Formats: sequence, C-alpha cells, structure tokens
Amino acid sequence: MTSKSILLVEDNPSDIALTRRALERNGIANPVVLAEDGQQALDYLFCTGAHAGRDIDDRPVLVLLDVKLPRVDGLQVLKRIREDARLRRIPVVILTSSMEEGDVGASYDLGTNSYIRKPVSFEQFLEVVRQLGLYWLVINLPPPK
Amino acid sequence: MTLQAQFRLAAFLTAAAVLLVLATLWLTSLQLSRALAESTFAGSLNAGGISGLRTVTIEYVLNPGQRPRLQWWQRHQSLAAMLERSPFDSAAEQAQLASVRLRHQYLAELFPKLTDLLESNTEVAESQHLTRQVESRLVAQILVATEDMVSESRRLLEQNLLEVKQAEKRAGIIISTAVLGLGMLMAVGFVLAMQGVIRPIRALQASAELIGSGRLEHRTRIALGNEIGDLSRAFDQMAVRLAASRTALQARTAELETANQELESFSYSVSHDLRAPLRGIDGWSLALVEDLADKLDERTRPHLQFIRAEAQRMGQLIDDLLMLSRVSRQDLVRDRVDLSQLASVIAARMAKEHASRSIQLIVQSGMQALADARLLDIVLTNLLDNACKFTCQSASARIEVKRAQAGEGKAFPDQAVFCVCDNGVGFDMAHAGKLFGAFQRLHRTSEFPGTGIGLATVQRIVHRHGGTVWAEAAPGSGAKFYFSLPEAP
Repeated sequence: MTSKSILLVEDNPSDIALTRRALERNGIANPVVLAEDGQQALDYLFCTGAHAGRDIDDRPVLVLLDVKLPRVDGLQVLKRIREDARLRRIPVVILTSSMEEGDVGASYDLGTNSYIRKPVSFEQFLEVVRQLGLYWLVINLPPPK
Repeated sequence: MTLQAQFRLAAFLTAAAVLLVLATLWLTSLQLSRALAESTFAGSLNAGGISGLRTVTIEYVLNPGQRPRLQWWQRHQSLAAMLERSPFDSAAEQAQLASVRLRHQYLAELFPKLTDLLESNTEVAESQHLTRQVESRLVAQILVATEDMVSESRRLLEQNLLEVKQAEKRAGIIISTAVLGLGMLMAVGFVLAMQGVIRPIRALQASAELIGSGRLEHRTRIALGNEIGDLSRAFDQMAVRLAASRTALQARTAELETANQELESFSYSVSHDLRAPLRGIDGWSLALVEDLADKLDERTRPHLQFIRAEAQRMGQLIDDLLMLSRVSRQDLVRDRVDLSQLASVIAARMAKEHASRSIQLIVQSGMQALADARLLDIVLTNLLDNACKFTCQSASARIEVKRAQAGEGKAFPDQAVFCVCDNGVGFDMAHAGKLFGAFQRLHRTSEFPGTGIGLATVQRIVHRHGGTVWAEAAPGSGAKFYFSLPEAP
C-alpha cells in the first residue's frame, strides 16, 4: 500500500503555503510531503537521514521541484532521481520562477517530465496547479509498481 | 655609416673610376693617333717621296734630257716640302730625319754636276774616257745617297709601325684592365649590399612576420647604424607598444567578461528571486479577498485589488527587462527569414486575442530578410501588439505590415525597409526621441497599459542586425514604425 504522496521541494514559506492552498482549492487530496532543500528531498527519496527506515518503494506519485534551493539544488536532485533504478520513473515537474534558457535546457537534458514557470498572478497559478493535478494524477497513466 | 652615405660613396667611386678609365683611354688614343700619323708620314716619305726620286734619278741617268731633269727637280722640291712637314718629336727620329735631310741637300749639290756633265755634248773625243769615269762616279754617289735615304726612311717606317703596335697593345691592356676592375668593383659592391642590406632586411622580414603572427614579445634586434637599424628599432618599439596595448586589451576583456557574468547572474536573480515575493504579495492579497469576503467593503476591497495589480505589473516589468537583457546577450543566428509568414502567424494570434474587436490585419506577401528569426519574432510581436493597443479606441482598426516603397521614409544600401502602420491614436512627433528609450512612455498607463520596454527591445534587436528603426506619426492619424534589416541573399 503506497501513500500516493506529492513531494513538494520548495524553500520559500510563502510559496509553500500558496502551493498547498492551490492544491487544496483544486481538491487535490494527496498527502503533500515537504522538503525545504535538496538534501531533505534526497533524504526522503533515498530513505536516509531523518527518513531512514522509510520504505523506498513507497514512491511519491509526483515531485514538484524548484530549481534554486539551499544546499543541493533542484537539478542535482533531478539528476540523482534519474540515475537511480528504483526512482527514475517518478514523474518530476520543475516548478520554478526561473525562465533562464540554461535552466530549461538542463532540466530537459536531465530528464524532467515538464517545466513550468510559476506565474505571478495567483489566479493563473491556481489554473496551473489545477491542470497539473488533472494531468499527472488523473489523465496520465502512472509508471507500474 | 648610413645606407644613403654608403650608396653616395659607391656612386662617387664608380664615377671616378669610370672617369679615370676614360681619361686613360683618351691619352692612349692620342698616342695611337700620333703614332699612326707618324707611320703614315714615314710610309709616304718612303714610298712616294724618296722612292720616286730614285726612280726619276735612274730615268735621268738612262735618258738624260731636259724633261727628266725638270722631273727630278720637281721630285726633289716636293721631297723638301715633305721633309719640312715632319711630325716626328723623339730625338732618335729627329736624328734619322736629319740624316735624310743632309743627304737630300747633298743630292742637290751632286745632281747639277751630273747634269752639266751629261748635257754638255760639245766635249772633244779625247776627253770622253775621262768624262765617263766622272759620270759613273757621280751616278754612284747619287745612287748611294738615295739608297741611304730609302733605308733611313724604311727604318723610320718600321719603328713607327712598331710604335703603333705597342700603342694598340697598351690600349687593349687598359680596356681589359678597366673592364675587369669595374667588374670586380661591382661584384664587391653587390656582395657588400647583400651583407649590408638584403640580409638584415630578410631578418627584419622574418621578425615582422613573427610579431605579426602574435608573438609580440619577439624583438628584431638588428644593431645597425644605418636606416635598417632605425627601421628595426622602430619595429621593436611598435612591438613593445602593441604588447602593452594587447595586455591592456586582455585586461579589459577579462573585466568585461566578469561584468558580463555578473550581469548574467544578476538577471538570473531578477528572474528567480524578485518574482517570488511578487507571487506572495499577489497570492496572499487574493487570499485576504477570499477569506475576508464578508468583512471587506466597497472601500477596502479596491485597496487589495490595487496591491494585486501593482504586483502583477511589476512582474510584467521584470519579464520585459529580462527580455531586453536577453535580446542583447543572445547569439545572433542570421538566416533567410520569411517575414510575411512570421507576421501572418503573429497577426492570426492577435486576431484571436482581440476577437471581440474589429481589426483589419493586412500582411504583404513575399517579404524576406536576413535576420535571426526568434529575435525578429519579438520585433514583430512588439510592434503588432502596440498597433493593436493604440487602435483600440477606433471603430475600424486597420493594421498593415508591408515593405516600404522606394522614396518612402529612409533608404539604406543593401537593406530592406519594412513598415508596421496603424490608424490608431498616433503621437506627437515632438516626443519621438523618447520613443525607443527603456521605460519611456508617451501615454498614460490608465489609457494604454504597458511597461515602456517593448520599443527599447525592438530597437536593440534591429541595431544588433545593423539596421535602423524610426517612427512617423501625428496625434489622431495613426503611426508608422519603420525598421531596416539586411536584404535576404
């Protein structure tokens, strides 16, 4: 039995709360696991540090990943996910403020499933989260166990 | 010694040598011509004068008479005249000639005795025997004297022919010596020129090529006191200055690269870090509007809406600034671009965005340019966006993208001029100078929203293509935005 959680990797408290609010407002009820930097995300995914003892096969159904993060950055997290045989199939969506071409290109090179730039307007952000949830949690067929 | 002085000296020495040779030749030719004149004289003395006298003497002895006698005297006279014209100058020749003269005078004494003897036929028979003896003695004396003259003159002739031969030989020696000497002189000159000019010039050329290939620390080091040495020192100084300016340029380039990197990281920060708080401001303002729905009234609700509008406008400003910075940094990929097709796609998108309005969008077909398609897309999007925005108050908006006609606007060699024109509100040309500066706006935000960065971006892109952008307008009668781009090949 998996928890069907969403791993949100984000360091800005305001953005975290807004994302939670947007998920909630769109009726997305999956549990949200929060990692406030890249290292925490890796600890959760690889069941190390604070998450030692967690079942590594209880994979998140979706990772919402920021690029610019303290300690280990988002691209590094993405790289580690794609390099690991147990984790490589997890859908990863880069959700960030950056629209630097270098970041976009690097993310796709490392195998992101999607790259989304967070809009300033919360109404637009709500719509983005609604479509994300609809697509990745409902329409899209998830990877097999 | 400078090369100029060396060449002058060489020219002077050569000229002096040639003059010396010419003078010697002239003297030799004088000697030769005198020897020739003397030998000619000796020849004619021998062959004409003395031999002729001998012939007439023999004739007279064989056949005495008045006519041969007169002939003899004639001959004697002409020989006397000839002897007067003597060209000889040496003592030996003078002595020889003197002995000829003596005999000549002696003949003048002897001959009358012979004529007296032979032409007085009134002698008695007894004395005939005695007469014969005197006669033969006289004849013998005359002939001996004549023969002496002949042999003297022949000796003179032979001596002079020898002199001629010697003079010829001398002339030959002088000419060959002169040719050989001048030839040697020139050969030595060439070798010296080779050593003094060509070698250092080759060395200088090799050094110049090395310096030219970028090895600015190389020095020619040709320590000569002449012009080549001066040239070499000038070269070295040039290399020193070049190296200094290259070092300065490298330092400047490094500074610029650092500044560019700082700019990159700055715009990255702007893109990422400045937008995040705006998102918070907008999101939480909306949260307040939603969560305090029943507690907000008509007076306070607009405050929150203003906060949101300002946050969103700042977001737009940041995006536009990033765009402006990106179009300056992005590599230019020039290619043949179908401007008509590009404009049509944008026009179709505009028509969809402004579906509620009646806008006539006309794009001329077949427009081509040599440009970066992605940047040209930004140019056309901005210009068409503006045209849509500033025609929003007219009932029947008309926007046209076309190639400027010859004579319309300005013309540039090898550039195509395009025009985006509308029948919107236009603007006062008095403010046209501000049009393309960042954050410069000619209209109130409440009237026509915008950040004032769009046209600055357009200008930057057109300038990067080597083109020009300008506008023509009048308040109330629309605007025409012209831009030139390199003509498609």
